[in-house]
Amino acid sequence: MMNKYASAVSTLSVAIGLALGAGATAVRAADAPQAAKDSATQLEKCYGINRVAKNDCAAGVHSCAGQATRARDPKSFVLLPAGACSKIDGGSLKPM
Amino acid sequence: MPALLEVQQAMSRCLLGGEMPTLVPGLDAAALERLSIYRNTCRSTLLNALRLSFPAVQRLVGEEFFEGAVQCFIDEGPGGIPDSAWLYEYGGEFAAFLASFPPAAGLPYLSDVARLEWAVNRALHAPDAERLDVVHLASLIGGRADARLIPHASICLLSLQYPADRIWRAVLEEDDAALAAVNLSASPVRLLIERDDTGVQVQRLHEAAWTLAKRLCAGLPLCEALDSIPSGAGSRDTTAALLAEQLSARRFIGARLPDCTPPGDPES
Repeated sequence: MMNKYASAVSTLSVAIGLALGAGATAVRAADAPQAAKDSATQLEKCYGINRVAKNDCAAGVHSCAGQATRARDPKSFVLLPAGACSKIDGGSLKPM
Repeated sequence: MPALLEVQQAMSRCLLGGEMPTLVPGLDAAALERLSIYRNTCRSTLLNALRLSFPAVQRLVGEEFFEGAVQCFIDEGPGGIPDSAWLYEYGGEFAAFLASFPPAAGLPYLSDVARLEWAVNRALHAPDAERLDVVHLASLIGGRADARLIPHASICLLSLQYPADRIWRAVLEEDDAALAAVNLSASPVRLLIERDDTGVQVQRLHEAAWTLAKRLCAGLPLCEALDSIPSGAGSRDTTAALLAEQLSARRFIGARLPDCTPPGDPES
């Protein structure tokens, strides 16, 4: 326990020295691929809207009008994925 | 006349139960008809909440499938009934539900994408807090290996079997070439999700960095977090470099020190 603690103290001091020396940006860039950085800005828009719309009355199809008395019966249509999943190579579409 | 509790329970069954009851004590047919409007509104609001939190999942499976899955989630899944008044907190169990949802069994990566989207959703709504730079953090830690770091609330660390980050990005950007290039049999991915000044970031970490970040974010004391970190060389310098990386990434908002004196303190 004592050894573990002492060793951790020394690791900590080396780490802080390294971090102060290297500067934050260089280390950060190492584990964030450029592609990820680029796309993050686009995704932000997509998710940015969510936050605003999430509790908005207009977000619900019927939320304010309240006219529909019945939701679509989930069992009345075939549950088979139909979207972009088919574009993934090797992604199976067979119902199991 | 039914007791208030009975009325409330009947109301709850009418709104979110699997089947709309045909008979509720104290309610006539006209009242039940009006209640079914309420039921439908309630369920479509929950559906919309999940659409907004899981846009990539919806695009992967299509609208109809998504809607059907959500109806089943509301009816069957634990967590299908909201337990918070905030809609962005609804859906934490959706990924687990999808993992065992038989119609989705052909898409084994779907629940991993859902877990990632949930982490992104959490990161979006996490409270703001000032992220400390390494100078500030070092002064709070005060050289003590029993200090515990407090992570920014938006940080989430996920270890996923499928490359959900690539799928998620490709789907939302409608990049068919990237989707076709996804390798489902690649090794598991270790992700760190957080919100910084520019928005939500999703990045891959190496196993050692991910493990250390996970332990630090779990609030373990530094000495335990650093203990047997799986690094290639295993030397102290490597571990120190990993820790330096964590400390300078501005992932922490504070540090907690125990009240007692540290075991290594010469004055104790």
